[in-house]
Amino acid sequence: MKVTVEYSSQIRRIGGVSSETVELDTSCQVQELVKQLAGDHGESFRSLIIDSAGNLQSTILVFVNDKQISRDASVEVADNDMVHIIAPMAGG
Amino acid sequence: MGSKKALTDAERAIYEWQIWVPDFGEEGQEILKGSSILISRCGGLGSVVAYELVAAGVGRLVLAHGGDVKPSDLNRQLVMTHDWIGKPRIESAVRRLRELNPHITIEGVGENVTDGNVEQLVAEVYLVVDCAPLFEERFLMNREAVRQGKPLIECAMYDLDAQITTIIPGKTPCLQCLYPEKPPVWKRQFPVFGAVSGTVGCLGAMEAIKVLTGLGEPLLDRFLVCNLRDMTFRTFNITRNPDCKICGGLT
Repeated sequence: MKVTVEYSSQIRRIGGVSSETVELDTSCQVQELVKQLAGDHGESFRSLIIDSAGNLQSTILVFVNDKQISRDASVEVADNDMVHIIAPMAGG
Repeated sequence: MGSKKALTDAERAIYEWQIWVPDFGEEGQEILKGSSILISRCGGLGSVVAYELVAAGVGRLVLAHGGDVKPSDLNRQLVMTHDWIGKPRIESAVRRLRELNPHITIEGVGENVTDGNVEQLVAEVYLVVDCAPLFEERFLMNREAVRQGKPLIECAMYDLDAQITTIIPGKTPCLQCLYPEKPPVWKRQFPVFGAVSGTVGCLGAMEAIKVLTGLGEPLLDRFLVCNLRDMTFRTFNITRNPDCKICGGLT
C-alpha cells in the first residue's frame, strides 16, 4: 500500500521535506503513521508535530485527502491516500 | 447583513463595473454601502484587505492598528508610506485609504486588539477580518466574534504559504476548533513577501463581500491552503469541535 504525506509551511521549512511517499505492508491508523514519520527528520521537526507526551500536537491539522482527522478519531489510511500535515500560522 | 443604502449617481458611476457582476448588481452595492467591517491590524495582509474593501465601497470601515511606521513595514504594508516613518501607522493608513475613496467612512483606532477594547470594536460592525500577527490577538477576536455572533474571516500567511477560512459562529468551526491552544512555535517575526500577504488579503476581502451580500459560496466549513512556491491551492473540509471551549456550546 502506498501513502503520500505532504507537509506545509513551517513543518516543510524545518524538516526540509515537502512530501514523502511511504510503502506500508498493512494499513495503520493515520495518527500512528504521522508519529512514526515525525521522528525521521530531526528533533525540531518532531517537536513541531509531537508533544512532550508523545501525542500529536493539538495545533497541527491532519487531513486524509480532503477530510479533517481529529486527534482521537480512529481512521486507517488506505492505498493511494494523501495525508496532509498542516501547521498553524498567524502572519499578517 | 447591513441595511441597504441607496446609491447616488456618483456612486453608481464609481462602482459600475462591479455592479455588472451577476448575482451582485445594484442591490449588492447597496448592501455594501450599508455595511461596516472591522479590520484587525493593517499590516501586509490587512492593508490589502482594507484597500480592496475601501475601493469596493463598503460604507464604513473600522481599522485597529497600533504603533508607528518602521522601515521594515514598507515591503508589504501598502497603507504605510516612507514619509510617515516614526509616526502613527493608523494615521498613515487612514490618510492613504481616504485618498483612494473619499466617499466612505473610515475610522482609525490607534491600538491593536486587546482584552479591553475587543468587545467595543466588534460591537460596532457587522463583520470582522482578522489579520493580526499573534495568536493571542486572534484568539481574543475569535472569542468575541463568537460571543457576539459576528462573521469572522480568518486569513493568515507564513513565508510563501497562506490559509483562510470564514467563520459563522455556531455554524462553522471557529478558530479554536482548529487550534485549541496557542501554537507553541509561532513567532512574532516571520518571513513575508508583500505579494503573498496581499494575495490572501484579496481573498479575505472577497470573502467579506460574499458573506455580506450573499454572493457565491464563502469558505464555510472549508479551509483553503495556498502554497505560492508551487502554486498549489487546496481546499479541505473542516468540522466543528463539539468540545471547543469557545463555540462548543452554540447550536
